[in-house]
Amino acid sequence: MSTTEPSEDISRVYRFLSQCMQYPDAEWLNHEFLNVLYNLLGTLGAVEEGAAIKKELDSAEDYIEDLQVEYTRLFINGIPHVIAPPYGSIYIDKSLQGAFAGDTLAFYRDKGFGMNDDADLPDHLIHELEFLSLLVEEKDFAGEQEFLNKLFRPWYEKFHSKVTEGTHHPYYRVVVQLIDFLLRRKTKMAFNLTRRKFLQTASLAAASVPLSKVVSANTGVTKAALDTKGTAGDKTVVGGICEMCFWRCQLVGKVRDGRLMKLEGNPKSIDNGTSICARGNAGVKLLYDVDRLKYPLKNVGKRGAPKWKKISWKEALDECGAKLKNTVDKYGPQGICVFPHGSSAKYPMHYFERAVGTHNVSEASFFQCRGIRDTAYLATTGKPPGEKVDMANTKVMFFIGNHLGENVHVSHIKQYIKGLQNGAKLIVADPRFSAAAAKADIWVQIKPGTDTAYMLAIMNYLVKNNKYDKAFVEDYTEGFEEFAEAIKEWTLEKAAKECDIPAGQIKEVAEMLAANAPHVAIHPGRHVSWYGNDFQRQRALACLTGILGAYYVKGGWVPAKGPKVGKVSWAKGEADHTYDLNINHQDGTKQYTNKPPGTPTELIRDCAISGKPYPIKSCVLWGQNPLQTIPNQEKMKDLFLAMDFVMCVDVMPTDATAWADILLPESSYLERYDYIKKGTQWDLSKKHQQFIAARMPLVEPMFERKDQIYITNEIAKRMGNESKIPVQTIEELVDKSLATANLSIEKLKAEDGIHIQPGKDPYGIPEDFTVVLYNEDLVDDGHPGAPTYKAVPDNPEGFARLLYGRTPVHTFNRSQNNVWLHNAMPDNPVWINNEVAAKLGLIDGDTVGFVNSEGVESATTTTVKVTAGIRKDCVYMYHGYGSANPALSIGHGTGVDDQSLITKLAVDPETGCNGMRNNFVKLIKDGRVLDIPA
Amino acid sequence: MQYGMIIDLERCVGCHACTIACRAEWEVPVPYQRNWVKRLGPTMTDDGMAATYYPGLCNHCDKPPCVDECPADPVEMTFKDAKSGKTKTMEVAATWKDPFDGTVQVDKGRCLGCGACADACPYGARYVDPALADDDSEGKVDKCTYCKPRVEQGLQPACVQTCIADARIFGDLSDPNSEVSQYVRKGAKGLEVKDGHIGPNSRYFGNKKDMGLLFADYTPELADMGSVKRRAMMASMVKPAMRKAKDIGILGVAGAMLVKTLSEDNEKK
Ligand code: SF4
Ligand code: SF4
Ligand code: SF4
Repeated sequence: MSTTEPSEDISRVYRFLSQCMQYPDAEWLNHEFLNVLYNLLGTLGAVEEGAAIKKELDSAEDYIEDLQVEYTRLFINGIPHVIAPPYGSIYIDKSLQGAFAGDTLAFYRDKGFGMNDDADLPDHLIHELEFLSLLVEEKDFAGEQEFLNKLFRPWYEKFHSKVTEGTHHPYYRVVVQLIDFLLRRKTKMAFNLTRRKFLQTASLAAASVPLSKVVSANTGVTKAALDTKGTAGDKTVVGGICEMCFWRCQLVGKVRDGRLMKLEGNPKSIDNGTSICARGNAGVKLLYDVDRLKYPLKNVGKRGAPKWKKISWKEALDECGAKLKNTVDKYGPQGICVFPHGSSAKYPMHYFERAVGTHNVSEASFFQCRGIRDTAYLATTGKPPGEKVDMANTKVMFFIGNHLGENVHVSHIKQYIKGLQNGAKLIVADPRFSAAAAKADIWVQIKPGTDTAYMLAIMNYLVKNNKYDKAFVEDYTEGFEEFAEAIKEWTLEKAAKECDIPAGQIKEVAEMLAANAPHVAIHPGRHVSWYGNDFQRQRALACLTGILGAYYVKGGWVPAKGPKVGKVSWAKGEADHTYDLNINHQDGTKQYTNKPPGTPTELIRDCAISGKPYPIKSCVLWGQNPLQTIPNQEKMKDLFLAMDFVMCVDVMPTDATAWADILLPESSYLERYDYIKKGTQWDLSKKHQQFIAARMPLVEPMFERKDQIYITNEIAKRMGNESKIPVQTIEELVDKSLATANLSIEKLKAEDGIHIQPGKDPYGIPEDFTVVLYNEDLVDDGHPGAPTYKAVPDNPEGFARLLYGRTPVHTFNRSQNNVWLHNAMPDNPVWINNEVAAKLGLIDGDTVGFVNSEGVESATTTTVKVTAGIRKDCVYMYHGYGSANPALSIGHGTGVDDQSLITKLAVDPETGCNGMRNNFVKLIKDGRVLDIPA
Repeated sequence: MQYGMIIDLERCVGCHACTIACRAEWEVPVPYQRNWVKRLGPTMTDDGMAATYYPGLCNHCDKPPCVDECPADPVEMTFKDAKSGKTKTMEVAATWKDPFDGTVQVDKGRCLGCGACADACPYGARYVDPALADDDSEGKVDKCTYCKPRVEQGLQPACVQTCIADARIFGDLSDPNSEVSQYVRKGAKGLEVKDGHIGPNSRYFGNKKDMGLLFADYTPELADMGSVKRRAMMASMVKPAMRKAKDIGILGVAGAMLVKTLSEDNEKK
C-alpha cells in the first residue's frame, strides 16, 4: 500500500503526531486533517475511538475553542493546575528547565541539531517528536532508540497517564495513546493492529504535515555528571534586583547554558552584600515554576470557575483595550478600579490614575499594610518613617509586634543583629514569644489591641517623672502641654490592667528607655493595619520617639541620605475630585482625613457593588491578589461579579486570577529591566556611601511573557491615549530615569550593576523639623489631638483572637507555590497556648480546622503547635498559606488561609485602612468544634 | 588542618537562607537536604522562656562512624595538601575523611547506594538519592562537602556566603588564630553523641538558655551499628567489598592478607 521507505513512514508518523500535539488552530485542525485521523483510527481497528472524537467535535458549538480550552487546561495553565505539562524535565527534575532539558538539548546538538528562536523549551513533547522524525529521516535508528530510551520514555509514560486520567476530551486521550503505541517496544494495546501496519497508515496522514521548529545547528555536548558542578564556574550576570519582596536586594545570577542556576547577593552591594534571604535564593524556582503564566489567556468559562483558552497577544490586547474604553465611554474614567502591587504595577497604575483619570486605586501596601504608619507619622513629624531606625548603633530597640527574624529583609536584619552584638537592649511587646522576643531582654506579653494604652502609660510616666528629653521637647515639638494633659490618666496601674501585664514591667521599660535616650530605636513597624485603632498607635510611637529626643541621633530614627534619581512616568493631569469617593460632596469634607494615596478599599468595594454613587464596571488587577490581601473574600468576589470586565496581569496564578476575563503573563523581575534601587551603606556609622542600581534581566523571558511598559502602552493605544505615552520601552524608561543621575544602563553594566558614590552624614536634626505631639489639625477634623487609646472588641465567649504574621520563607501570599520555600515550611501550624491545649486535649501535630465568629469555616486544615510562648486568649499562624486556586499545584490547599477567616471588617477612622486582627476563631478537630476556655 | 563551621545562635535568625542557597548551589532535589534549620520552642526552660534554631549540616567528624561502614570496594587514593603540596596515599571505600583538610567526602561513582553510612550517621546528615541509581547501585549518597569545590577556589561555602546574619563562620579549627578557633575558646561546642566520642566539627555558640535547649533536644545517640552492619553486609554481598572481610569474617586467606595490608596502612598513618 505504501511505496515509501519504512524510514520515511516512521519519520512522517513522528511529524504527524507532533502536529497533533500543537496548539489547536482551525488552519490545520480542519476536516481534512480530522478525516486522516479518523481513517487512521479506522485502519487501526479503533473505530470507536474515532467515533468518540467525531461525536465530541460534532456536538460542539465551536470545536476548535473546546480543544483550545482543553489544550490550555492540560498543557499550559489549567484548573485544577496544569494537568500534564508537556516537558520532560517536569517529570524527571520536578522543574521546568531542569537538567533534563539541558541533557535533551545536548543530545540534539550532539546529533547536529539546535533550537529555533521561536521554539519552546527543548524537552517539549512536540520538539522531541520532531527531533525523532529528523533522526529517522537521517536513518539514524540507533540514535532514535538511544533518544527514546534516555530522553523520551523515562517521562512519557507519566505524561501519558496524567493526560489519560485528566483529560475531558477524547481527542487528547486518543492522540497520547497513539504516541504511546508507536513508542512501545512490544505492542500490547487496545488497537488490534501491528506496529508496521500502523506506521504505513499513519504515514499517509503525515505526508503533508510541515516540519517547524527543530532545525540544523551545532555545538558541543556536555554530559551530566553524578556530582553536580556547583555554580562557581558559571557565568556571572550582574544587574539583578530581587523582588521576592519589596526590599530589593542587589543580585547577580549564575547562568549555565542560558539557564539561571543560582542567585547571589551582588558582591559590590553596600546594602545586602553577598547575602540574600531564603526567598531571594529561591527566586530561581519562581522563574521556572511550571504553573507560571506563559501565554495570554481568555476565560471562556465563568469568573471564579474559569475555562482558559490561550489567545494571541493581539487578541488579548484588543479585548482589554475595547472593554476598558467601553467602560470609560459609558461610565467615565471612574468606572475603572485598579488593585496594583509591586514595582511593575507603578507604570500602569499611573496610567489609569493620570492618563485615564480614575481615583479608584487601592494598593494593598497602603490600605492593608503600612499606609496608616505613613500618614500617622506625616501628621506628627511631616515624614513617612520607613523602617529607618538606626538599630546598628542604638542602645535600646523597642518593637511593638515586629518579629524580625520571621519578618526578614536582609540589610534590616544586618542592622538589627549588629545592634544586638554591640550590646543593645531589646524590648519586644507581642502576645507571642516571636523570633524577636526570643532575642529580647524584656518580653512584654501584651494583650492584643492594647499597645496604645501601653505606650501612653510609658509616655505619661516619662513626663510625670521628668524623664523625657526636655531640650528636644522645647526645641523641636509642638503641643507638649496639651499632650501631657491628654495622656495623664494613663498611670502604670491603669495600663497594666488594660494590657494585662505587670505595672512594674512597664516602669522597667520606661526607665530603660529614659536611661538610654536619645539613642533608642523606637521601630515604626511596617504592616500595621491590625485593629482599626492603628493610626493612634502609630501616632503614639512617633510621639514616644519625640519625647525621648530620638530623631536624627545615633541609634534613633535616622533617614539615611541617599542619592537622587528622577522618576519617569505618565504626566500628572489637573486634580479633579468630582468622582473622588473620599470626598463628601454635600460639604466638601473628607471621609477619611488621613488616608494614604489612593482610595480606601471599602469605599471602592461598596461603590462597585452597590453602583452608588456611580457605577464602577471594570476592574484591573496588576500584581495584587486582593483575595488574600483584603479582608472579607466574599465581598471581593461580589465586586468581581459586579464588573463588566476584569483583567489581570501577573507572574503566577493567584486566587484572584481565577476571576479574570483576560489574564496576561508578565515577565518576572529576573527577566526584565525595571526598578531603580537606591540607598546607602546599611550601617549608618560606617563610611558614608550612596548607591544606585537598576534592575536588569539576568535571563531572557520564556514563552510569551511581556513587561509592563509594553502591556500598558498597547492598552493605552487602544483606549485612544497614544499621544500621552511617556516612553516606548522599558529600557527607555530606565535610561531616562538614570540620566537624571548622569547614569545609563550601559554605565551601570560597566560598573557591575551598582554605581557607588560618596554619601553624606545622616545625623543632625534639620532646623525645620517639628514633632507635633498635640495636633490641632486632627482636632479640627474631629479626631483626638493627642494619641488616644480606643479599646477593641473583646473575644466573644469560647473564641480566641486570630493573629497572623510573617514566616521568613514567604512574602505575603506570593511565594506559596515555590517548591523550595514550600519544602522548607510546608504548612502554617497554629500556635496555641499549652494550658489551653491541655484543656482541649490537643497535642502537638494534631490536625485542626477553624470556624470564625461569623460562622466562616476554613476550607483546609493545619497542624497544632502547642507552646507556652503565646497568650491564652489568642492563636497565631503564618500568613500566606492555603491558596484556594488549584492552578497552584504546590501551594493549593496546604496549610490554612488566615485571610479566609478574616471576614469582620474594621476600618481605621482616620485613614480608611483595614484592621485585620479583630476576628475570632474556634478550632475544629475531627468535625468537633472546640470552645476555647477563657 | 581540620575545617570546621561555627553557627552563632546569638546571631542566627532562623531564616533558611542557608538551606536554600545550598539547594541552588548543589542542585539538591526536594525533599532531600544537605543542611537544615529546625525551630526549637518556644518552650519554658529552667532558664526561662526560650526559642532558638538548630541549623545543622554534616559535622565532618573526627572519627566519622559513617566512613567505617561503607562496604564499597576500597581503592587507593592519593590526597594532596593544598598548602604544603604534601601527598598521602590511602585505601578508601566510597566515602572517607580527607587526611589533610579533615572533610568527609563521597565518591558517587563508587557509591553503592546502600545507605549504610546514612544509617550510621547520628545526625541524619546523609541521604540516598534513588534518582541516581544505576546498574551497580540503588542510588547515590549525598551530603554536605563543606563546599569543598568552592573552598578550593577561595570561596566561602554557599551557606556561609548567603547567611544574612553572619551567623555561620567557616575556617580551620587547627589554626589557633582562626575565627572558628576563637569561637571554640569562647565556648562553641559540637553536638557530641551521648554515648561516645566522634568529634563533630560543626559547632554551636550561644547563650546558656539557647544552648541548653539545643543540646537537650538534639544531642544524638550512636546509631544501632548492628543493623547498619547488616545492611552494609547485604550490599557487600551484592557487590563484594574486600575491606569488610575482616568484620564479616567470611573470607579466608584472601581476607587475612587484606587485613594485614590494612593494618600496615594504619601504622603508616
Ligand atoms: S530581603 Fe530577601 S526577598 Fe527581600 S529583596 Fe532581599 S533577598 Fe529578596
Ligand atoms: S556528621 Fe554524619 S555524615 Fe558527617 S562525618 Fe559525622 S557521621 Fe559522617
Ligand atoms: S542563613 Fe544564617 S541566620 Fe539564616 S538560618 Fe541560616 S544560619 Fe541562621
